[in-house]
Amino acid sequence: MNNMTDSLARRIEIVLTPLLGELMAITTVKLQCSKMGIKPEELGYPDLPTLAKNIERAVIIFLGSDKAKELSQSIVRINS
Amino acid sequence: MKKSKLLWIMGLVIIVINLYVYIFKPGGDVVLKYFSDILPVICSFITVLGLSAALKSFKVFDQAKLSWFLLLIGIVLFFLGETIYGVLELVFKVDVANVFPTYADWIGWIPGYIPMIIGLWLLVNGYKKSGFSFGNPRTYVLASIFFILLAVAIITTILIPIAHDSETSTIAKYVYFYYPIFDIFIIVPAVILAYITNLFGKAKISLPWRYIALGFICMTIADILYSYLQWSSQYGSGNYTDLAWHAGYLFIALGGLYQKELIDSV
Repeated sequence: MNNMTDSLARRIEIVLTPLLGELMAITTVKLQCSKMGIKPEELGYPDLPTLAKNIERAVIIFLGSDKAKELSQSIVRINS
Repeated sequence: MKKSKLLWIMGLVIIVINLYVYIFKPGGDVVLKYFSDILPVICSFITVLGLSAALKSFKVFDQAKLSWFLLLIGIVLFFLGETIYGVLELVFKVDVANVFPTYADWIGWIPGYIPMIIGLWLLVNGYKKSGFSFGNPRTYVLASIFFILLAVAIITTILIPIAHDSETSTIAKYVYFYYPIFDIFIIVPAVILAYITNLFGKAKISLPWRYIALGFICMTIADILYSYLQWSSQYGSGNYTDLAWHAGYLFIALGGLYQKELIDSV
């Protein structure tokens, strides 16, 4: 179970890395998880929409609302 | 070929030609004067195009788009300033080295600062709301000390001598004061943006801001030097300060193109 959830946080980091760089991607996932009161390794699929929304808010100033939303949707799609 | 790569090549060619003309002065003072007046118009126009490309790529008019829109308005006004300055000197034969302020200041450069300052602070404010790291607080303490020292240096070497100069008119004094003071308002957010982008390493999300910050830092340094050189009658066609302006414009244009490429890549 741990390996599966670990890989979910890792998969989000992989989505974010080309955009944010590896270090910022890891930090962002860690930060957003801590805001949700969980550890990255505890991240589950039900948490994805909230996490994606928080990341969307974080990148809006860089990408604008529409592209930040697209990025958020690509995070939610990890679920499928 | 990506437009940003093309602009890198074009920018390098412009700067090398600029340097060649300023050092070797082929064609003498007349060519130098034309070159010195036309090149800023070309560079600022390239910046208008670069920022327009960035602006078009934002679909929703949110804080991000508003910031870029304000930067574009500021640069359009600077482009007007550069054009008017060139026309005054080349067409109307105004001795711009000794007439200050000119219509270029009133119509272009003076109003241009306001939207640029607001645009840069909106980016910093937007970043603050994003929740990303602002880096080490000690860096901000050190930077604040540096800016206080810079402000003191500007006040003592530029502003106080100008204030005491009986040959300079009151209106000219206000304009001489305006530029360095507003330059500080520009350089502070520009340096914060440069530092923030440094935290992201080579990540493409921070690339546009990096060049925007670099461009404004170059232009501000040139502006502060210009204020002193113009007041002390040492500024004229072919002054090397121009290179920092031209590089500044081109860096900001690159920032615009990188922003467009970033948005297109998501």
